[in-house]
Amino acid sequence: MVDDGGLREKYSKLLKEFLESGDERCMLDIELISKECVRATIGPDYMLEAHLNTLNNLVAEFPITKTVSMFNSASEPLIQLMMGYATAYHDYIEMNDQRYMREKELSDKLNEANRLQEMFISIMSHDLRSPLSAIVGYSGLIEMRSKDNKKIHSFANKIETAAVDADRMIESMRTYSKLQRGLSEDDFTDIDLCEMLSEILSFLDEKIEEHGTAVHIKYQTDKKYPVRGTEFLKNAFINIIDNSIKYSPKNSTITLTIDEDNSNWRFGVADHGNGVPDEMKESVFERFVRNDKRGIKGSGIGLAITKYAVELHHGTVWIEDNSGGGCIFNITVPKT
Amino acid sequence: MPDMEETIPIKDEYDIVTARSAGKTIASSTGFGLVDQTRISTAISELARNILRYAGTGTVYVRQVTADGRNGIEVVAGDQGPGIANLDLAMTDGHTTGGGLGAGLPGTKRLMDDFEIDTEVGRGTIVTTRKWVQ
Repeated sequence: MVDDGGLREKYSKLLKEFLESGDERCMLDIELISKECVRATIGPDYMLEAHLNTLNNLVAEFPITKTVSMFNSASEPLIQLMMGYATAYHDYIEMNDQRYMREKELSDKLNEANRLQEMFISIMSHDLRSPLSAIVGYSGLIEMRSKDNKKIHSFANKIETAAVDADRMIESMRTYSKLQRGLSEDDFTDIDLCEMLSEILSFLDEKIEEHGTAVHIKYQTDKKYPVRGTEFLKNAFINIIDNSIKYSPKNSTITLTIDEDNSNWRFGVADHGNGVPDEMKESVFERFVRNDKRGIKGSGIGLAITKYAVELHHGTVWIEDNSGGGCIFNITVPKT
Repeated sequence: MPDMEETIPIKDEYDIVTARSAGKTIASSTGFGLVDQTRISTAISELARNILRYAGTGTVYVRQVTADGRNGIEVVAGDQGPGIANLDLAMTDGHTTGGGLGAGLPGTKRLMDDFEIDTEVGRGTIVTTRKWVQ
């Protein structure tokens, strides 16, 4: 039985009443019922069934002579019912068409806005990079030639550092914008996590040294951990390792692990920093949210990029507390 | 054939029924079949309901008409209500906020052959529709 909110029963009563009295009011009510049917997506077949069932029951009650005239008059309410359906369906279809047109218009606008945003970021990053490299270059020169003037030397150093930071932020924006476009199958290649991590560690070598960080590797470096990935996956791993170094006290240890987790590899990086409070464990992955800004460089977009990238690789990323203080960033990626 | 005509003042729901009945009787005498009779009475319902909804009161006038040797029926719905400020919008399906599906002017236009509307904000609205026996 289809739940029709009593519409069939209402129709049945009206039909009976009309056959007995010929009252035009019944027709008006039937017209309204048919509209309610369209609203409640009760098809005409159900109402036709109700119509025939009512007539069959009446045949049993009425003498044969009355039955003939009854069948004649019964077409009128049925036609009225169908007429109501027809007008309501026309409206329904045209309303849907209009909704579709409106949605299409909005989606076109959105696509155009996205295209403009991408174009803007690409132009911006390109055009900003040339002046930035001039700043980096010349501030480096000043730094070199001002060794005997400590003040100027330190100013030049600050300018250089700021320009390098700005360049990194621009790169992050570019990555974010690229990820928003999504990945295609052609972007993926076979990657071994172990090999990728050793590349990442040599890339971060300078920073590791600067922080006096000890990197403790707790996975088999002679084993392969194969996944399908893109440059963005590497980016995600760099981000969370870089983060761990950044948020750890100087001269502390970070620990890297890879474990098998059903059909995934679970990579973890544990640090001894201040940790992330529970209420922020998810929100740090949103854009422009940072747990503790003091003295730490970053665009606030790094973890958003990480999450985005990992999810595009059908993986997950999350933070848990490190039992020895600090936190563990985890990334899972499907094994191949 | 004496021209039949009927004027029905519309002030409550029951007048819609009266207007429908009148329309049906005249349509039947004009030679319309049952399906067209139902189209006409449904159109009358819509027009009369619009009067109640937007103007409160008004009149439905139904009469037989002939043109170019064809017989037909004319339904005129008139009121002195607020009038329609945005006619294009009112003629858009699904626009009628109170009526929902199948309500209002677009539905009426589809049910009838001819449809004319004369409206002025603050003065009222007259909708004239005709249907011809095929």
